[in-house]
Amino acid sequence: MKLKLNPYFCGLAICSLLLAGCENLDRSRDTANPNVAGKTLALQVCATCHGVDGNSVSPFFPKLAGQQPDYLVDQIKNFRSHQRSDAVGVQHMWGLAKNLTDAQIKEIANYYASQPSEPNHVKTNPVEMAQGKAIYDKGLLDKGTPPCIACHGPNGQGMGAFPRLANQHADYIIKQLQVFQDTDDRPGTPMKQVSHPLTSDEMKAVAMYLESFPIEAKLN
Amino acid sequence: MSDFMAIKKSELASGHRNILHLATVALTLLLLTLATKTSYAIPAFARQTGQNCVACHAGGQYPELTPYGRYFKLTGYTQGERQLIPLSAMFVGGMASTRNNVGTSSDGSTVTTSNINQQNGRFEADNASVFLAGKILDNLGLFSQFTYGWAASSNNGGVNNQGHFGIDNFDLRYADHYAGPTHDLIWGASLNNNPGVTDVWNSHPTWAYPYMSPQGARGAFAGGVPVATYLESGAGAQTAGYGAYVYLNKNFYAELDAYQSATGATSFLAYGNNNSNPNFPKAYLKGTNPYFRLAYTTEWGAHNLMVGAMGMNAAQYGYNSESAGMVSGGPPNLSGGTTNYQDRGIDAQYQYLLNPHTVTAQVRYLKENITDNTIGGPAGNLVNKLNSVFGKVSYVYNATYGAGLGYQNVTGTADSNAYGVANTGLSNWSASANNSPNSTAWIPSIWYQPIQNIRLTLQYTAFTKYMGGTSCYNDTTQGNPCRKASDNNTTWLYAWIAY
Repeated sequence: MKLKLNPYFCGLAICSLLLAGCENLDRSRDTANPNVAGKTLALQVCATCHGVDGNSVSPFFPKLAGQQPDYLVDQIKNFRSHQRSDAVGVQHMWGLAKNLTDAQIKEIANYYASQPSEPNHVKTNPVEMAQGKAIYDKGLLDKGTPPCIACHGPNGQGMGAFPRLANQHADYIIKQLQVFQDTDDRPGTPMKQVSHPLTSDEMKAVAMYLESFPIEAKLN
Repeated sequence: MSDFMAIKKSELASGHRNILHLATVALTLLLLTLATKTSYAIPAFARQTGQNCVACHAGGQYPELTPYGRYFKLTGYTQGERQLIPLSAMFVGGMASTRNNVGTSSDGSTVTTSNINQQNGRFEADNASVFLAGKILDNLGLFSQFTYGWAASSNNGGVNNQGHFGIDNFDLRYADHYAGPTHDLIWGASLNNNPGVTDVWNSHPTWAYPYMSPQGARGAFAGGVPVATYLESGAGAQTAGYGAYVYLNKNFYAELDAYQSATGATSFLAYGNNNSNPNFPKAYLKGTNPYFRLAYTTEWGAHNLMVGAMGMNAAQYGYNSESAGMVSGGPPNLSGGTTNYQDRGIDAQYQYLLNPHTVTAQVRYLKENITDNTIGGPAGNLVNKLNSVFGKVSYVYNATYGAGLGYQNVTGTADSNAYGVANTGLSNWSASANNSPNSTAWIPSIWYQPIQNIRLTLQYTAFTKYMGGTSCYNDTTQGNPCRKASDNNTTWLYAWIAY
């Protein structure tokens, strides 16, 4: 067969090779290359779902903006080690975390922790807000559920390994409470016991309250 | 005629037993061996990212893409970890059953009957694909699919079930992504084989519901309306396309491609189609044929929306063996003029994605002007028009149970050479008595996905109009019995397996 080279094809092929001939560390999406900076991976990979500034649009994906860096490090490492095995985490995060180095994980965590958390604009139900605030501030002592505020802080900002909850998507909070309550897929936290007595309505109330931060000012 | 009739993607396959075919079989076997050793027995992209199918496919409803899946494609299939052997395999097979499978032909005095689909009501393999797909370099990635169809051709010498191996999809991309707090820009370039293979929305005909149809005569009805525009027909899936695109701030998308005949170094983009194969002749385009795609996208909460536009001008040569109203393949007739297709369309897609619910909906309107300058070409009129409307909505629960409903409606200029009895390439059951292409189909389906690699689908294709008629659309002047549009209603139960 006579081989006739198409000049357009050759041009494109040559350009492709020239342009792609070496690593592009500044804008790489390679999750298995330890030389790619954590911030680069945050912008090129994580941001697709969690947002460039960590304020994800879809409640399918948790907001990471302003999150406690220690908590983020713990979670990514737990995905990497498969210690955290909730279904959505397995489906989306195990693969991404698989080859990340400790340094990359720390850089990703620091990047998102440094982003300002944006408040949500959601319609609220005053009765539900009051119920949510009561659970958050005082717990359900008759059921043995301690106040959330004890670990997650007066403004829901979290502390160390305890995550920030303020402004988090309500749907995400509810689903994680269900994971804690129904499964052992997120071991190593007291949340199994904490969430055990919560009803669906109570979960929703506290989740809506947290999603609506800083609604607290309006309630006082 | 075949230019006007829907050339389903599954029909692109075929098979001569050549070296590449053997190599593909060997590689497939190798892949299957490897697949048994990995914890992620899923296609190449999933192995590359380490993620589940649902990360990129809405509710696991491949090929429909999530926003993340669209991003993965737009950034050149480069996210994740490069694989040593980036191969995948796919199989589709099942049972198609048409309500009235008895076809007739008449010489004016004697009516002869024969089954339209020889395999009606039997389980059959339809097609198998091998994918070479994945990250090559930080900015370079590939999605390619080659398909073998067990019954890709049903009319080669009257032999049914003739297999064929050929190219299905090819998209080699270079892409870069600039992300920052105030801007977001993805740009890229692609070498591809089909206008639309580059697209990331499932309102584009290349990736639209019902995604698949059975092969050859088995697929005569299951895929829906029998007439399609150039962009819908897949007729361009054997051309050489050079394109570039930008996606700005996750809002504005623009793409421009130029398509040419796949000859010389790019002839692999038409692999399986050649001048000596009357059933799978290679398509020859005149010069450079432009294709454009525009889209606006937005998202709020768990919802996302796209509204877009697309268009193509294609000038395609006929064939030397062409007779009035029938394209029978063979070498191209490069001096006989071209059939010019001018397609313009608008489309939209909506998605709601929040576990355990997935709702997706697509609509599309395509308008086509066909100017047939060929001598004795596929159309009798110099200018024909086609209008095609498509809509579909589907729901998936927990990425496991799904249901969808599709709608297809095509209307156009009556043309005896293209759609009527003057087209000797059409059977009594496929030719229109009033020379009209007007057809309407409803396609409901339900599916079950026990694991992410396997989907079992029960699909029904119901025609309320077929080739211009409802109760007696076919030609009866020579004694053929009347055929109703609903006689063509077809049930297809099939499995789609991917590893």
